[in-house]
Amino acid sequence: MQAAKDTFLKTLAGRLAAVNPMRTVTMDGAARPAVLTLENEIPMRAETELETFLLDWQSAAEVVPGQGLMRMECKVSYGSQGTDDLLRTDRGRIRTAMDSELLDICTPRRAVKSDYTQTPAAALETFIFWNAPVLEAVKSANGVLQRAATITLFFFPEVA
Amino acid sequence: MQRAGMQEYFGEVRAYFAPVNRTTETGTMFDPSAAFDVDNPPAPWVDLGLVRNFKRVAKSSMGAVRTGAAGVIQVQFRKLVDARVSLDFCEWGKLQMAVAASSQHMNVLEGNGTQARASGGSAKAGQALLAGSTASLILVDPSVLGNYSVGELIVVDVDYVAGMSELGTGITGGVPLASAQLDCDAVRRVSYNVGCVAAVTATGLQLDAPLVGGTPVSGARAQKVVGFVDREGAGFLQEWSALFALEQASGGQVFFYYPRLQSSAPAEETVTALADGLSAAYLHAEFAAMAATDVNDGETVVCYRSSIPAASTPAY
Repeated sequence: MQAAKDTFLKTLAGRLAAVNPMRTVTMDGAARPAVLTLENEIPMRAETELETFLLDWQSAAEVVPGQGLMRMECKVSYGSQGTDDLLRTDRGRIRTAMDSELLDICTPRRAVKSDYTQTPAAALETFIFWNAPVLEAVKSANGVLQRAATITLFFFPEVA
Repeated sequence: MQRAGMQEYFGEVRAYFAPVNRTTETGTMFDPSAAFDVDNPPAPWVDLGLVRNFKRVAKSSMGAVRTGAAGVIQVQFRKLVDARVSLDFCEWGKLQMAVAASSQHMNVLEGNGTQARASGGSAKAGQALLAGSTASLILVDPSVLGNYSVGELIVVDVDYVAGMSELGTGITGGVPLASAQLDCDAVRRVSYNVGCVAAVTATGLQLDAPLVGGTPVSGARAQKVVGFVDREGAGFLQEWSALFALEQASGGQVFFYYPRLQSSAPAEETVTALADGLSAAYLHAEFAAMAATDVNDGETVVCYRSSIPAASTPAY
C-alpha cells in the first residue's frame, strides 16, 4: 500500500515539474515540485501551505473480494491568497490555474508502481490507476480561495 | 509473476478508423505485433477520439447435429457469423458524422449565391492546384491566396467527369447514380480530402493535417467547405476499417480490430442532459462487421480481439 501512495506522489510531482516548473514548494531549504503528502511532512494545516497540492490519504477498501484490487481515497487540497504585487486580486486566477494543472498531472491515469524505499526506486510488477479528479466547490476564508478534489486510487497490494 | 496483470480494468474507449479499398474490399491492416501509438496513430488511421456506450454484440450462432431419441449433441457447426458494434461518438468531426450515418457524407461547399439546394447550392468555382502540392501543402496561384484565412476548411479533389464509377480520390465517398446529372463539383461534395488551413504561406495553404486521401492528383481543385451534411435515405453505405482501444489501467493493452465495418443504422443522436436547459448530443453509430480473410491461415473472419499483456504477466 505504501508503494502505491509513494508512486502516486512521485508521479504527480514529476508531471507537475513538466507542466509548470515554477510551481515549487521549499521544504527544509530545498525546492521541489509543489505536491506534498501531508502524512509525510511535519504536521501542518492544509490551509497554511498555499499554492501547493496537498495529498491526504483517507479511506481504503478492497474492491472485489478475492481479486486483490484495492481502492483508496485521496483528498487533494490547494488554494491561493493571490500575490501582494496585484493586491491579491489574482487569487482566483492562480487557483484556476491550479485546477488545470491538477487535471493535467492526473493524465494519463496510471503509472507503474514502484518501491521508493530503495534507491533507485524499483519498479514493481503492477500498475496503479485512478479516476479523474472530482472537484469540490471553492471555499473562501480569510482571503484564501481553497479547493479540494477527490481522487480514487486503485492498486494491487504489494506481494511479500 | 503477477496475476494482477491478467485482470482488465480500463478507462475510456478510443476509436480509430482507416479507409477500405471499396474496389477490392480490402481494409487497412492493424498488426498487433507492431506498436500502435494511441496518441499518434500511424497513417492512415484517423483518431476519432473518445466513444461512449461502446458495445460489441456477437450474433453468431451455432448449429448442432443430434442423434438418438435423447437428441444428444454429436457435432457442433457454425451456421451464422454476425458481429455488431454500437457506440456513441463524443466528437462531431467529419469522419465521426460520416461513419455514424448510413449514407454519403457530404461537404457543404461555399456557395455562389445561386440555386439553393438542401445539400449545398451551386458552389464557387474550384481553384486549380499547382504542381508540387502535397497532402499537407496546397499550392495555388498566389494571387488568390488572399481569399483564404487560417481556420477555414477546404476540400481538395478532382472535377467530376461522366463515367466515373466511384467518387473521391484515395477514399471512396460515394458512387454516382446512373440517372444523376452531376455537376463538376460532385467529387468534392463527397470527398474525404478535407483539411483545415493552418497557415497561408507565400505560395499556398498549409493544412493542419495531411489529406487522408494522400497527395492531390493532377487536375485537383480546392474549394472552401462551410459545413457537412448527411441525408437519411441516400444509397451509399460507409465502410471503414475500425480499431477500438481500451485505455490502459491495470494491465496490458486491449484492441478490437474490424477489417471492414459498415454503417448499419440511420443517423441518430444520443442526448444526455448536462444541466437545466443544456444537453450534450453524441453521434450514435451502429455497425455490422464484414468478412475479411486472414492470410495467415485463410480463415474468413469479421473481427479480432487482441490483448498485449503488460510485462511480467503470466500467460496462464
